[in-house]
Amino acid sequence: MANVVANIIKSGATLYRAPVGETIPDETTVAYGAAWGGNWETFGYTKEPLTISYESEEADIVVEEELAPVKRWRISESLTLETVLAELTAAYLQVAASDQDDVTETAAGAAQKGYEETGLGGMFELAEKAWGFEGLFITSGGDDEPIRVFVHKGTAMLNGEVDFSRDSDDYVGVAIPRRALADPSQDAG
Amino acid sequence: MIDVQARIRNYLLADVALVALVGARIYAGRAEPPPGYKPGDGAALVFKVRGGGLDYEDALLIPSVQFKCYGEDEVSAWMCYCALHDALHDGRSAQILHAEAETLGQPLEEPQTEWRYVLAHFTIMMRT
Repeated sequence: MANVVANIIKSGATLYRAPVGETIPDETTVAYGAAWGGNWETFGYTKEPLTISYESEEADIVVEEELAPVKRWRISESLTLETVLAELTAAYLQVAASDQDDVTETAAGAAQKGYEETGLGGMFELAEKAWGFEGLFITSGGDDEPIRVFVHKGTAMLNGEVDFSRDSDDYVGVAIPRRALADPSQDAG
Repeated sequence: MIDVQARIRNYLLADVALVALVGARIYAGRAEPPPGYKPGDGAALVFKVRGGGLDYEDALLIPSVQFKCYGEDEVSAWMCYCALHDALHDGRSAQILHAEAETLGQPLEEPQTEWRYVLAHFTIMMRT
């Protein structure tokens, strides 16, 4: 394959979430940076890059007559997207916690401060969502084009510590990995 | 080798807000404005490559570039810097893959002429 400088990517990424089965954005009509439309939603500022990791567990098939494996099979796989949300709201906390509760917003009034209320804990079921992210590909002509990756079904979890510190030189972030689930309605490969 | 400084200058000259402040007074390959320039002429931008390198395959040049933003006073020098930052930080084009600020600008004064300027540095990934 030829070396193509334009294929070298330098990009951040924007995370999206939607109900399972949501139509993915059209590659022709939805430009880079434009809202994906439908029920796709984004999550405000992030404080760390989006990472994607694919892990494949494999089994070697060994026979007595050969020193090296003669075949190798994949026996399990996992896909994880992870980032850290920079904005701390009740709604984003629920995104990280796989939607355990609704968020109730009380509007500010003359004798009432506005606030958000939500719950956490006691839920066995994890909310399954479609996930996606969009990065930037700059063509050799300087045009912006999207790079889009989709996880058709996956769950989120609150990962690690949410660090409230007055002494730290950092600010509070919510780390949320999204782990993919198998979606048999999609073609393999 | 591509002319890094010419590409940067052409990129900046295409930025309407920056050019509205500095006009054509964008001087490449210099640490100070050319002879004849006076702050009273209006804001000016002076830059030069101060280092950097190439990527593993020589497909990208990644210079670190020093910018000095001059103005008639410290306020106009700072406005010149703000326009530079808006033009260049996270900038991209057919030739510039990515540009980002290394540090925020630092207001300074030339010791001999007492001209006010803002010193800033950017890293620019450039397609070869």
